[in-house]
Amino acid sequence: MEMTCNDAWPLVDAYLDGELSETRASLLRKHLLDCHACRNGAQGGRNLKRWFGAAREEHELFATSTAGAVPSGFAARVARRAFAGDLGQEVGQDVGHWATSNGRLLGTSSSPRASKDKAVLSFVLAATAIAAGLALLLALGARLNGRAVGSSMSADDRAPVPVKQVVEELERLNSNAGATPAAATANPADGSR
Amino acid sequence: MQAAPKEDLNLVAETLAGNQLSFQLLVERYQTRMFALVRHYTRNPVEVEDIVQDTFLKAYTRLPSFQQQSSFYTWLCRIAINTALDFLKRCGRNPVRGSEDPELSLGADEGSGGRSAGLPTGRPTGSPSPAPDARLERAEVARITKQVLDELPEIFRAVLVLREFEDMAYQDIADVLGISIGTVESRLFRARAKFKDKLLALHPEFGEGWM
Repeated sequence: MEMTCNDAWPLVDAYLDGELSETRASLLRKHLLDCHACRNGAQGGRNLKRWFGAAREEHELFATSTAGAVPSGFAARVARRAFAGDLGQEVGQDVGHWATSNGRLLGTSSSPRASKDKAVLSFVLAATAIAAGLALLLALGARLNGRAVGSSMSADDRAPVPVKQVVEELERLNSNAGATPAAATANPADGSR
Repeated sequence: MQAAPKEDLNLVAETLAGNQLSFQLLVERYQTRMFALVRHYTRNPVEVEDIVQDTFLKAYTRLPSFQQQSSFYTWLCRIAINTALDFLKRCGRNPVRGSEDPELSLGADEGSGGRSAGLPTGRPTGSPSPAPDARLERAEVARITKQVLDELPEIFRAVLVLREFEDMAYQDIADVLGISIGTVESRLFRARAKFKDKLLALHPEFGEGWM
């Protein structure tokens, strides 16, 4: 199958990277032999790779220089912090997500402070949740004890009197009335308490 | 006789079992490459150290979820790139982002970044002139490269950095960026075209003859 320039051109970079399958590479090579323009394009690709090669050499050179060297004791310090529970600034966010807040939060100097802020926030949230739970329990307890029931708002907070106690009081009053009617008539309130 | 270095997976397992020294060895093994990778996002040495440190701390906390289908290094690269991008965003130095997914807009771009403009028909047919890297100091090439990369949308910069500086295979790039190999191939093609466009726009003295 013949390859056109439209097919060939996007494959040139992958070919130069050595990432093309042999089948596609074979077709591309055949096209490059026949097509002067694509051959020149491939030469441009090679030149760009040389450009990047020079940039990479410089980049690697810098990495091994004093200015680009990893700070002394870096690995030990990071390992110590990791095992001490320092979870970094972005823990809890997905790897692929960007943070939404502004301001510089990363950094050695800001890490402990940010951790402390997080701890305070967690404590406040937990305390609020516990207080809300207690308030709910108190409200339920008050309702079960019969306080503040009914649809009308009332300031009457007297405890309800058991029926048995009322009957006993009535019987006692009846017996007292039969024994000393005059006293009962003179002071009816005495028998109620 | 020196003992053979332990495999990454062994060190990961030992770290998970509570061995701090194993994690320290993992950090030592990859710290230089992480510093080099993050330097593509900021040249400030303090910021680079902060980002790399945070990368390893994140890696430690996420170690239990490390899928061993990809290598520890590519997994680490993924965390490092996202940590660097988070950092730039928090600092208000957002990386350039494409306004749309280039994979969905093939041919819609202007310049040779588009597929049609990237065809060889408009290119000079004579022998290419010597590449500028033969004439320029290597440091100057690196400086200009950094300047041009900073102008590229992040999706293009990332593939170029991983391929041209980290020398990653397409499959590893796909793992780091969470995209398919086909997308890596097309994105690299477009990234290189964009790079050439930006380079010639910033430094027209190079002319078009060499690439």
